[in-house]
Amino acid sequence: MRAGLPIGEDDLQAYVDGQLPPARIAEVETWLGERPELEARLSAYRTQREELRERLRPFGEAPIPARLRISAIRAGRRRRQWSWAMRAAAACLILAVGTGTGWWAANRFSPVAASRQALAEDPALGLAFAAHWTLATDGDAATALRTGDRRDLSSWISDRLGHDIAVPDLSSQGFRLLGARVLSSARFAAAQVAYGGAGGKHLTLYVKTGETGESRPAFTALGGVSAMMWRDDGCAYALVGALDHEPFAAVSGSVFDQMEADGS
Amino acid sequence: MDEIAALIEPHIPALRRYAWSLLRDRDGADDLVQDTLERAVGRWQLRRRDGNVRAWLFAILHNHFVSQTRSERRRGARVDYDDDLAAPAQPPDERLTLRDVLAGLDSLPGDQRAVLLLVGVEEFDYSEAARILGVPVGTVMSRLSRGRERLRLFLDAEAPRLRRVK
Repeated sequence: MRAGLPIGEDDLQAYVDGQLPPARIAEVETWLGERPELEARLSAYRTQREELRERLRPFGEAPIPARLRISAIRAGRRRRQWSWAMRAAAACLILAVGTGTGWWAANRFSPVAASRQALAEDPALGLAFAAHWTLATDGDAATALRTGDRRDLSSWISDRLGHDIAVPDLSSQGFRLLGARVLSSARFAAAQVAYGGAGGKHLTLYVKTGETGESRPAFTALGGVSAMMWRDDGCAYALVGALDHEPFAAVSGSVFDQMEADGS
Repeated sequence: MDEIAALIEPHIPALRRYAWSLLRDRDGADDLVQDTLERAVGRWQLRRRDGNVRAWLFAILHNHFVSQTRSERRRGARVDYDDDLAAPAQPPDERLTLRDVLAGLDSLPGDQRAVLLLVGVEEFDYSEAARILGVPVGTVMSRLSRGRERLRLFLDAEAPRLRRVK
């Protein structure tokens, strides 16, 4: 591989780790033979490596606690998904009641005011709204979307974001996959997936890296555009669309279930 | 036993060891492993079929660890140390040396510590370690040589002091 090239610090480390290609081993050994003063350093590296292993070995040999069995992990996920389903059902109910009684128009509970606050407090939500508006109003951005099937786009986005992202299938909700784009800045990477439905309705799913913490899905709305957002595993996820509340709650449930779905 | 359990469970002991090495807190380490496994089960369908399950699991664990550390730092929380781990039955003087290695490991910056553990203890090759940490192989190599040299100097400086104590 590096045959004939000068010996580097990386060769010495690889020599210690037994990761040198056989041909290079001979070159490194010849070189070291002329420099006996290096032997002490390399042997100290080997010793510390062995001592670390020795010291940490008991942890690799201890019996696994029951809570870490895959069956227990699955049961825990199912319990949480069930509670999310209950919550989504309750949200739909509130939205349905709200629409029927003019609850949304009531000043005291104005969702717009609440949402401005949410936007100010949560930059990721603001970015998701901005990305949605850009796509809705900028024809160039829409034609520049990368197209492909769910599998292609999932692996493209996962590569670019460095996170495993599953692009959800919303065809049963009446939305077809249009494409995706990656929106990266110096500080984080983000991606947006676009869906189109009947009557020119659009949904976008925004995923941003560089986030911390976990949160359950929360709904918000601004200027007739609804959003559902949650955080998990270093990412923020936001589904955004100008849909009525009930269909939006339904499609949100489907997105969340697919993205956080149990793989079994 | 199903496929997922059959492919993931054999790696749990090593995941616990790595988590403990990073956190030095047994319950915290198992919480980290549990988060990792939940994520892995949820994303099972998405992993690369040709990929190495073990490296994939370690990458998930590492991402969780980094985001957890970041949010703890933001909150100003401190990690508790758990020093009552099963010490190997060895003569006291040898135990001292072994303890030193861990103290030396603690003295390293987190980036270097992770590389020393992944390469030296968990035996990942350099390109796997690079993928787990999300950095280029060259960065792994330089963290490895800086980390090892720093640990060597730490142990050299430590040895005479301990001998005097004895």
